[in-house]
Amino acid sequence: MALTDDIEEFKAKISRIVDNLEEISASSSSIPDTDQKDLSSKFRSLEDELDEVSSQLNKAIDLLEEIRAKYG
Amino acid sequence: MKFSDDIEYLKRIIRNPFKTLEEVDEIASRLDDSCDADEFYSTVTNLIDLCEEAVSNFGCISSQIQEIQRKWGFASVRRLPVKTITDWDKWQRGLQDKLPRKENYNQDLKTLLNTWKGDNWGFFVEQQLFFETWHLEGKMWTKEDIDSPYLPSVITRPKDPRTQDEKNLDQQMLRVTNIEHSKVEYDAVRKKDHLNPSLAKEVAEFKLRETSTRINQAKTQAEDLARESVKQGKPSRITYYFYEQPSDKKVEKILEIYKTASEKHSGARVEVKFLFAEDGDRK
Repeated sequence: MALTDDIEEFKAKISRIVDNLEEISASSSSIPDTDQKDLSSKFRSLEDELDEVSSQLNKAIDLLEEIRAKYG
Repeated sequence: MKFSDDIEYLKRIIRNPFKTLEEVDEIASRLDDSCDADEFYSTVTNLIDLCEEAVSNFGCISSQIQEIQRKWGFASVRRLPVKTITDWDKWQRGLQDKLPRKENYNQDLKTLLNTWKGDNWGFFVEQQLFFETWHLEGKMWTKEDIDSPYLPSVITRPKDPRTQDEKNLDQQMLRVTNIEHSKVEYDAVRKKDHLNPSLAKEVAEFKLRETSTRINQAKTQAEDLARESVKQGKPSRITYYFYEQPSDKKVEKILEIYKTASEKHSGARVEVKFLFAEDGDRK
């Protein structure tokens, strides 16, 4: 795989993370309109989504480290 | 600070990683074959640093979410990262697949299996918490104490035998200490040398979904943790380790107990966390 392909793959990962983060942001904006009884599950799902983005970003870091070792 | 202020702050800090990630995208676009080796290396290193900064931002957001839940009385119910634990699949099989078919259960068998299942779950959590940092009952130390034919073979027992002094100390530390004549014990108490200095006391309870409603035990524990919090001017923390995900109703019931104890002892703060391994059989 060429460098440009690796960079494109990395950028695609970042783009997905930004999209997911947008969803988290939108979800946090709807907290004030959430019923009291649903707040626990709302926070739970925010935490799960955040864990997921964090894990995606850690994988992107792994890819950068591979790129650095391969071409640096 | 009002609930709405905390939410506004949360919304603000969620925006923080966007700027960092935009910068990452922009810098990555500049990387191509024309970069010389040094420039390439330093640019990628810079990208890694920026990504790590964003990961750290995620950590802050997560802490704020947990703080809001603690402060405003919502339960933090999370899945244990069991999927990353070596041999978890074997554990799960050991706990579930070796059991007889459910339609063949009678009440006695159900009770017996539930006890074994609870013991197994306790062994597993003991293993995850580590004897080095927690006071634990320590059943796992002696193989002959375990009579469950369903115990998974993946348990890693501590190599060194536990001394009588260590056993005595663990037993003493597991007792609820602030209540006179109480026979209630915790399943785990964080050792003082390993306790986060911002906490007064940290304890853990291991539960199956079915055994979650030991209300009197929870009440005594809540009293103890609230008193310890007031005494030291710091929050106490209890983490419930459920094998099967507790229902919202059960979580609320437990939270109510800690809320009542905290209100009774002015200034007390008790953090209650729930971790679970499996969604559970809802059939």
